[in-house]
Amino acid sequence: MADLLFYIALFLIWVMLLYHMFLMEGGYLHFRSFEKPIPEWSRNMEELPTVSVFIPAHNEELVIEQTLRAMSRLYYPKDKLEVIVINDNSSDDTGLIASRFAEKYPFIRVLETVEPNKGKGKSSALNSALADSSSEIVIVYDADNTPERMAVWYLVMGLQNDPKAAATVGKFRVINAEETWLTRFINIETICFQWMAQGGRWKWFRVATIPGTNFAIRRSILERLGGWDVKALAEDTELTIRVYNLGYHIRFFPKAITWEQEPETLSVWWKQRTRWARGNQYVVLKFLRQFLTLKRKSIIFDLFYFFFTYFLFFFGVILSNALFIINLFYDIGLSIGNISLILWGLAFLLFLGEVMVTLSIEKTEMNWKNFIYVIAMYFTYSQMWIVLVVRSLSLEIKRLITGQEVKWYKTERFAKKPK
Amino acid sequence: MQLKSKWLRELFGFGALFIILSQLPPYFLLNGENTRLLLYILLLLIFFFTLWRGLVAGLISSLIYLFITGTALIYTEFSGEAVSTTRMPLQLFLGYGIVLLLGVLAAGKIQGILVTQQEYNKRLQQDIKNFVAVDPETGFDNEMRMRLTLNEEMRRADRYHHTFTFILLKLENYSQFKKLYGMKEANNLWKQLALRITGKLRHIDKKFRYQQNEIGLLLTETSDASIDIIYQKLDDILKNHQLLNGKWITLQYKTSYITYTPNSERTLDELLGEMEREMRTSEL
Repeated sequence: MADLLFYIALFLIWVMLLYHMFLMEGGYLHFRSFEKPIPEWSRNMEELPTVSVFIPAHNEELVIEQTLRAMSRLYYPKDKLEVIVINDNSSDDTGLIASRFAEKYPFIRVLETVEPNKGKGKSSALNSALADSSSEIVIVYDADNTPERMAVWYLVMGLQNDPKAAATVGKFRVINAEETWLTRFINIETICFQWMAQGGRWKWFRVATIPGTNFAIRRSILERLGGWDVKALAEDTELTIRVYNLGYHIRFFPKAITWEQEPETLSVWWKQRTRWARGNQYVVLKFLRQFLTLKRKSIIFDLFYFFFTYFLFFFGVILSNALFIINLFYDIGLSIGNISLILWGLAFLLFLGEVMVTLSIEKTEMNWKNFIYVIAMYFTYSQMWIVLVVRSLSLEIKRLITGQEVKWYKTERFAKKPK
Repeated sequence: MQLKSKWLRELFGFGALFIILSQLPPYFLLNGENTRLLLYILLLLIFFFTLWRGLVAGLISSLIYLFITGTALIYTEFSGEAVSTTRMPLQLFLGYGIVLLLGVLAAGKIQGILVTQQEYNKRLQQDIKNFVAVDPETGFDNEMRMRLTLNEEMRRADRYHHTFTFILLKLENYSQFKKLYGMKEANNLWKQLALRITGKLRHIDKKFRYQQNEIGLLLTETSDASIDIIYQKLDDILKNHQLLNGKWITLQYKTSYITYTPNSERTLDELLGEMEREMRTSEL
């Protein structure tokens, strides 16, 4: 019995390794081809739609100024652009800083959330702005994001040239990658996520996930969907599934780039990622229950990706680790021997190789320092994720049983350190 | 020999690492077993593939190779069909994989350095070509540049339905002039001619040193209606020349011109050939 369970666990891990290799190749192929249509697409940028950029902000005084400075430099006709800072129950100077920009730039304005939507989290804030604006396209940026000058232009370009796309999603990079060992790990992780998960899935399955920032969505689609789900902790993933279920797709267009701040301490990282993990688990469980009623069955690829990652893969890793450790102290008849060790070695080598491929795509990131960080990451950061997923699953189960309300955790920001 | 330039040092460093990494596996693998010999050959093939196609291609092929090898190893263990010759201890598999990935990194880096150098050399060669495209005596563009510019102008004229006029001026008895007055006077002659021509033409007109003793003048947006006036002006400025010793001499030229009309369906070589033939009988 122990052997059977162990084989199942190892098989799940092996399948995940194969799937990620497949994704990595897709991501690289997408990297080679995504810029080719741009000259032709540029010809379709004569009649531009109106755009609203939503920036939900709750106590973001440390970062909002640099964000709005980047917004003031966006390349897009200013008579067709409005930037709305959604000041959601801030107790610091967020509103004051944003108002200063609003006075200087007519296309920037501040929206204060009011009861009953005040302080209820990002989804609620975004819905307030949706009700208070009327542009054809809605773009969302987190308050710590500094988009590149052409980011909005390229997001709109993706939508203008792909009528079947409900949304376009850009790429995000880590602005504080050099600060701590943790931000270095996160930097590597985000590069892998962009090119493997987003790029790879887009290439093979025409599937991409809204990442919560640096994306553009058609207002008409948002209104049909009734806006953002205020109960979801991962409102971006939840919106993704509903968009696909409507029969549209989401285009991954990494030409639109934004730079965002990532957690610099473990405690902030833990809280943020627990929210993400819980949010994604909520989404997976919500839509898997409705699988038979889903209109677009191909979305199952996205659901299974999350299901595999958050449930099956980690389940396989935890089960195999647990059986291995138990067998050290109590003979449960485990006779697998070398197989698990070979699989472990294979997983390590493939992890190294896949990460190096994605780092090679971001030219300056493939260096010896990052190579050492990748090795260290395997034994530290990746293992932390296992513990985090288990904890978030237990919290999610507890919430389902007790029916407790979800509380939005706002990620702590860090001041820019002087060089 | 000191390796002064950075790229040479990098090439040397990565090259040495690559050689060490490619020599390490035989020590562990080549012990008379065919399977391990095959593994070593495949490793070398991937290294050379990386040197040829670059880092990412090498990494992707390494990953596919490692996955297949690992799966094969798992299968042989699982099915119990492993024969002692195909068994590979975990340490050896891990070490093999790491050497493979490091070797691919080193090979990829070498390939990157060589490609960068190649592109740099190409750029330098182009810079040199551009630099020597200017004739040192007159400051005009040379024949190579003239041909490029004329071809461009012909295409532009075809696209936008413009006309342009191209004049060739050949200085007669130039070799005798050089023999009689020397190189210093010859250089001064071209310098003075260039100054006068530049002063008389519009700034949008282009000037070329076509041959040793020939000058080409590209007059944009000009038809042959004004050719007589142009020739008169050229005659006024080019006929008489003052030598460095103060004496004045009269120069003689042969000339020809074409007025290019859109879509004339003739090549540049045909037009130049026609102009050369016409010049034999036409004086300024």
